[in-house]
Amino acid sequence: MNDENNVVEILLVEDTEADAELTIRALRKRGFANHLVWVKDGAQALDFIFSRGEHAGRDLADGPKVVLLDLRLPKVSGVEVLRRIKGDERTRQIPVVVLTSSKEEVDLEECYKLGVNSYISKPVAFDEFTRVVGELGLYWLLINRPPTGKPE
Amino acid sequence: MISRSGAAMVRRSVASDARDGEDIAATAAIRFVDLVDVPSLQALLDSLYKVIGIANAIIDLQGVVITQSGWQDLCTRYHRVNPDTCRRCVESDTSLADSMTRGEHFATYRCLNGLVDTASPIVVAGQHVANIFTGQFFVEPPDLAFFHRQSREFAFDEPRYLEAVARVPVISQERVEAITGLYAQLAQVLAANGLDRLHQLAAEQSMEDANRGLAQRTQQLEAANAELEEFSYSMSHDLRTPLRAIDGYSKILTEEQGARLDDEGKRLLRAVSDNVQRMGRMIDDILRFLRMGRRKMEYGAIDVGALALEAFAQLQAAAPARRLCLEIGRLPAAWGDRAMVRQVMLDLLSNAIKFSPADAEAAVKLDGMAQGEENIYRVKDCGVGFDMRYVDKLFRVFERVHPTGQYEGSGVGLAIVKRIIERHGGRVWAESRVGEGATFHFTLPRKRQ
Repeated sequence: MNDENNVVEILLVEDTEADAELTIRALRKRGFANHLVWVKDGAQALDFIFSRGEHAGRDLADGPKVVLLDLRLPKVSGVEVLRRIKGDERTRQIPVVVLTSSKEEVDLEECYKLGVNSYISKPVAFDEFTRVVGELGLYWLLINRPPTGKPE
Repeated sequence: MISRSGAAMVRRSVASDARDGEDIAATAAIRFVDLVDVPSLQALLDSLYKVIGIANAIIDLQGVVITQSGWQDLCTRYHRVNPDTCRRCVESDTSLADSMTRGEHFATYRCLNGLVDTASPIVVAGQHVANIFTGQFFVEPPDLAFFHRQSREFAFDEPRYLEAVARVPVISQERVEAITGLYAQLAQVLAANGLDRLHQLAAEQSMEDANRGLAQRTQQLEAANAELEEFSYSMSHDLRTPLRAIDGYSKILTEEQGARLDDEGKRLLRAVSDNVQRMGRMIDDILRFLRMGRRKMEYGAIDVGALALEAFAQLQAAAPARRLCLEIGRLPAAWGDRAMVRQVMLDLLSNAIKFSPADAEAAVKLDGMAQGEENIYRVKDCGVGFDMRYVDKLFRVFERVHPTGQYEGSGVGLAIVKRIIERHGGRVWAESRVGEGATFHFTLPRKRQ
């Protein structure tokens, strides 16, 4: 059993500070922000997920339970982060929700091809945004429990 | 020797730089061969020779024989074969040609080999391009003593040479003048034809140039337009991020600091919020509009009535309190992209409902008919209508006929309708009178077999 305090429930990958702050506030309102880690680019996201770089030594079993991923990111793109998560046995089962302002059909198709779990386009209105983000947390953290089978 | 080799040269060279008649005249070298159809000209001159019995030839200023008919054996077999007599022929030709160059309209010349020739110039666009020659005849019975001498001097086969002399026609001075007059007239007609042809070539060329220029320009404009659309798209897209932040922070301000704000402060924050919403809708609409231009079209048969009912149900669900009525008349099936045509229906019906009085039933009629190669569809409402003076603004992005605030919407719906219909190759237009409702028409081409 892991130490409850080390478990990361949500990894938020978002380079726009305002979007990140608003997302975190929206999640906090629903009580989902207690175990949230925010990284600002795709490289940091991969380091965190795969316990490398400054996150070396972190137990992969400590989550995250869900990744909220922006697509337009510095260094490594969101699509690439998604590809790496879904391409690795150890991380494949982590739900990834693409959270972006892009409604580009190309992105959407690419993400579904790579096995994205959900795709949410950020609404402009904050109330709507809060609602969507809140429901997102509710769905992926409470309702949609991922298969618990860890590699033996 | 005079050769005909020049006659088959590539045409068009003259007209390639020419734009109109004036320029043609100024063009350095007009070539007669470029202006006439040589084989038919040859046939014409052959016929003339048969009727008149006098040899003729059209020779350009470079000495290229373009046509020739009925030349005498005396010339072709003897005088122009022997280098010495041929030199005399060339001298005669040159002398006649020179008199043409000096601007004379007719010249007659007794050649050094004893025959008579005449010449008339062919002038095209003020430019002397060729001469028409007739000749190889006598105006008086031949001086046989001269031809005996000539035969000995140049070692011709005398009996045959004298036979050739005997075959040369003797024509009275009077007849020579008449015939030459005819040739002169012919030269003028040829010149006029040549000029027409030159003009025609120039017109064709300039039309070709214009078309090529137009095609190129169209391509450039299309590319520029695509680039501009791409730019609009990314820009609109990127504007959403800071807008979301403005909205979010003003909401947080209201929630967290609201207690410290007086009524005016709260009102101002609400105004921020309202305008953010408005801008958000505008951006969404513009993205929707741009997406309709980018979308790959998927053609199929469309039941327009079913589509209209679908759209109508959606609108009724969005405004459950309103009493809406859709009457569907005769409707031909359409051929197009279903999702796009659905958008058209949605926008037209929504428009019809929006401008109908809110406190009464909004009655909308839809029908259509086949006409020629296309189907025409009509959406008619009993709403406030609009002033036909502003009909042009109706289908433009963000243009509104009614003031902002009076009716909701950003003024993109009809622009989207127009864009979709035009991508299908159809047209859209509207008719109305203030207070008497409006009718929107659109056409869709029928399936090409």
